[in-house]
Amino acid sequence: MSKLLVGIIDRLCRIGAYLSCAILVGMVGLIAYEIFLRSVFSTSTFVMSEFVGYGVASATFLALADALRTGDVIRVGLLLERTQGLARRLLEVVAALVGLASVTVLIWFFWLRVIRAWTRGTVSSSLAEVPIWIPEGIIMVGLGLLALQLIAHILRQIAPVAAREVT
Amino acid sequence: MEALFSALMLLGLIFVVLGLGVWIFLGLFAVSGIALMVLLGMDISRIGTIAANIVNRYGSAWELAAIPMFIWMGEIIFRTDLSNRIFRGLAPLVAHIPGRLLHTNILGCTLFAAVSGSSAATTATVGKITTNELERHGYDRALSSGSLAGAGSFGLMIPPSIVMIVYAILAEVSVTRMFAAGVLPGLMIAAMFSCYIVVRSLLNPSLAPVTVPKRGAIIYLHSVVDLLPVLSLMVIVLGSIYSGIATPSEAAAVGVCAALIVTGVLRQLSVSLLLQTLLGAVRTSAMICSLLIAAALLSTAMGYLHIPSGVANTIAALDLTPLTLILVLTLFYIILGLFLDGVSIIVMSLPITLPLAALAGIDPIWFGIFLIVTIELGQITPPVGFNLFILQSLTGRPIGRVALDALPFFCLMLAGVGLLIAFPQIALWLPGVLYD
Repeated sequence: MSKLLVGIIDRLCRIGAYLSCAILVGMVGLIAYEIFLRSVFSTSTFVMSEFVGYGVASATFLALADALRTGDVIRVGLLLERTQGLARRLLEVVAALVGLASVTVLIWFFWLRVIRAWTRGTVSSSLAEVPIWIPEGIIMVGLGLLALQLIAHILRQIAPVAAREVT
Repeated sequence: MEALFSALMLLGLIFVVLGLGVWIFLGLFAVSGIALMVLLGMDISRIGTIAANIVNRYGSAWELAAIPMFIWMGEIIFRTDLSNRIFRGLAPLVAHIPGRLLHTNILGCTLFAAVSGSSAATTATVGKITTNELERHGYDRALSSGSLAGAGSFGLMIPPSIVMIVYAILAEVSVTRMFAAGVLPGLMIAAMFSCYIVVRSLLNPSLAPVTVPKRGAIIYLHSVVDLLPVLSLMVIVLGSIYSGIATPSEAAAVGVCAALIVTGVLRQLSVSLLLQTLLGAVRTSAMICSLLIAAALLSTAMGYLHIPSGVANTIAALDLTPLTLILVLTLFYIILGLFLDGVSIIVMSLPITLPLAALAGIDPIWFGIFLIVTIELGQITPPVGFNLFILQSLTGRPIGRVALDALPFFCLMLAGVGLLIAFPQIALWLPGVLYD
């Protein structure tokens, strides 16, 4: 059961990482287009910095959970490397719980922001008038994936399943 | 006094939470929240509102976009055979200098650093070729791995550099100026490393065995052809910044396009290459950007607790001369560098040390370069030194051994810091000429 759950969470995080890749490609394309417009036609998209800003936030948070799973998110290993067995697993659970607590608070307050932006129909103060619940909602989804991945991290410690099944 | 107490509490809290092994950016969120709750008695809804606001605002800063794009560019170069070409191109050029192929470490890292923004990528890309080649030819292993460890850190110093972008965002200085300021100090330290290799090889020729080099114009022509891809990337990225076609963040996108075109021309572009490099890039950059966002929250929390001004006032009351201050800070950063990686050090310490430096009348551009060299030092000091980890996996030598190999280069770099303090113009001259 826990193995299945961990598997599903890992897949979801992987999808987040792929979305993040697509966003990165989009950002490169948008900037290249902006430079092209500026140097050839002396004009601009006028919204480049706004959209690249949404892009970098979305790309960061959508990939974060997957990065945590693959060990790309750094942590201090001084204590972790010197413990093993039950002590090590306990330490991993404590670390994940501290992280989970912080992320949960963040998700709750992002939820409030997104709901408020949705009900009031707040849009960005630019030419594009983007409804701001969209970019903020993407950050919230990324944080949600992160929370799920931290839960998966705890499940792996309780019933050690093959942690690196999806590579 | 109260600020100092808060500072010590916060420091203690950081030690405990990070020491437990909590992922650093999550740990910084937790520490900031706990500090505001316990020391200032804020309620959770206020803290949460502040935190969500900061995550949203700093997370969507478009200057951050340079980070994933430069990392992607580095990944593309790392996963193609560009490093092979750099080595093949450089080898004939250094065949007549004492120390011979050992210089490919220094020159290779300098060249690669000019197209990549990270020291880990530089060390790994250059090292995966030179380590084997030098060992095959019977070069001294200690000198070979030591010079690679030292030169690998040029990735931080020679533009484009991700750590410089991080510093420039936090210190609110121009990225372009920072890039220009890093060029001369980087080349200076590279020259010091090469001189050291020359001297060691003259004293003990067995360190660098004699191979009979081929001569002739054809060899040099091959060199040029092999170095062409990396040189053209360098010219395109730096050229687009200094000609004013692109801002540094946009130059990252230009670099990605150029790297894709170069790999296409070399017939190495494939879907799996794209996917691998993209995944690697978004993961690494998620790590760095999340750290920056967490640091923004920590810095705000410190502000509420009046820590930066409090510590600055306390230090100002000591009436240190700028020189003493810089020496104290050098020591402080070397100690931090023993345990933490470069970006973490910058984001955590800058809210305190930047006002200190400003109060002492130190130029923020110079301070950034100083900070980056001291962080380079931290890359090659145990127990936590990222370049040492990479060398350990490349050479299979234990970390203590690799650290010892790197020690002479650590000392040379420290001498470099000394020169930078004695002659600040090493960093400030080029940006002055270019932009004033």
